Amino acid sequence: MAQLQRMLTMLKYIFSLLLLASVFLTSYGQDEKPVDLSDTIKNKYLPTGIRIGTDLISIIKSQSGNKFEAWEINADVDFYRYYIALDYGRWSRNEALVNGTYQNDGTYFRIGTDINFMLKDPDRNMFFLGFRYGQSKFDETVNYTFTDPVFGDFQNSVTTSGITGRWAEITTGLRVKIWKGFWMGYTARLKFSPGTSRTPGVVPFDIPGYGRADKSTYWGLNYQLFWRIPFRKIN
Amino acid sequence: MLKTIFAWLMMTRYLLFAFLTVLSSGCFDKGDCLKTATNLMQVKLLTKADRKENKIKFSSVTVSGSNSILYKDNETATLLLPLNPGQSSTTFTLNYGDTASTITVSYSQETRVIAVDCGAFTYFKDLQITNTTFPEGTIKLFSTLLLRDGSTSAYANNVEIYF
Repeated sequence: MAQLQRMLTMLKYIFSLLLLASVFLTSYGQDEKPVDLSDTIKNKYLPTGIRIGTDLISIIKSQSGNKFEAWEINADVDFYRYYIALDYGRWSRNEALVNGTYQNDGTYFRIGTDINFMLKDPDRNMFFLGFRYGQSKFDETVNYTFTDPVFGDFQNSVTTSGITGRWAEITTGLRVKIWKGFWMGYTARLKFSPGTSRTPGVVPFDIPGYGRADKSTYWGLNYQLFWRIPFRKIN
Repeated sequence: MLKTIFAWLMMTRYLLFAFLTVLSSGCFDKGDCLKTATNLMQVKLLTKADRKENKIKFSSVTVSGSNSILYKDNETATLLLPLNPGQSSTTFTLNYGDTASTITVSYSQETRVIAVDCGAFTYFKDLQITNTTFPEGTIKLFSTLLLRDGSTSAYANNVEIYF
């Protein structure tokens, strides 16, 4: 029942986002010049290249201590002003608790679309809004001790494998061409509607790619470096 | 070139905004240290006729898995009985007057990390009365989850016994 409610909330968010995007697109479209008839619709929507990159923040955070390790690969392909975006990453956390330790390790992916609002830019520099669906697969281990005044000391160790986590995101950001195929940019993410598969005996604490499972919304930021491999010339 | 510089400036502005937003949202990451976990099952003792608080004098209350005497020569209308974290069921023996009554309860346990600064805790849930010598209709299960309000030290009402 709770999962169904979560799904409904997620659908509600996605629907709102699509509605918002359609409003933006409609208003943006009104300022455009008449369509160049020499450019066929077929050509317009053909991808011109693929951008492949990585997130600098994950790498820097991983180097700044041994509590957190992560990396992420990002890719997007253009279809006129629309982009299909795909991210894949790994995330592991190793935290010392007041009364024990917490560890998780897993991989995640995000898939979604971005809409470029700087279409007239000759370099295809990009300011975008988009949405993503994220999913992760991870293992989690909690070790902790506690003392009961009647029954004495206890040491508890709970390991759960193959947990599936999922969430949705609204994204915004920029992509700027720096030199030839080299691009830089950032993506700000409002993550929401987290959920996990059933885990008897333990409540998941941290979802790779999302963050703390008990937080209904989360902010994320990627600072990305890309290399663009062109398929054809931009019209 | 100018366009690239303009785009960079724009990017920096948005980046600064996003960075500040992430920083400010980071304040919530510590988590509220609200510890609601407990292994104490609250049993309320009420009158059979009008369900009012009923103080009973217990000569002793004992629990399986421990030599501790939980209550000794104590007159009370509320019992807080500890569930054994090392077992999936616990039996309590309540001695009052010339009577010795037993209650056996089963339960499951769930581990939750509240926050890094708070630690991990065991929550007791799916409470069931599996065996009792109290006559039928004189003992009733209410909340199947054991909870303690950290600020008021109030406990969830788990079981009621009518005398």
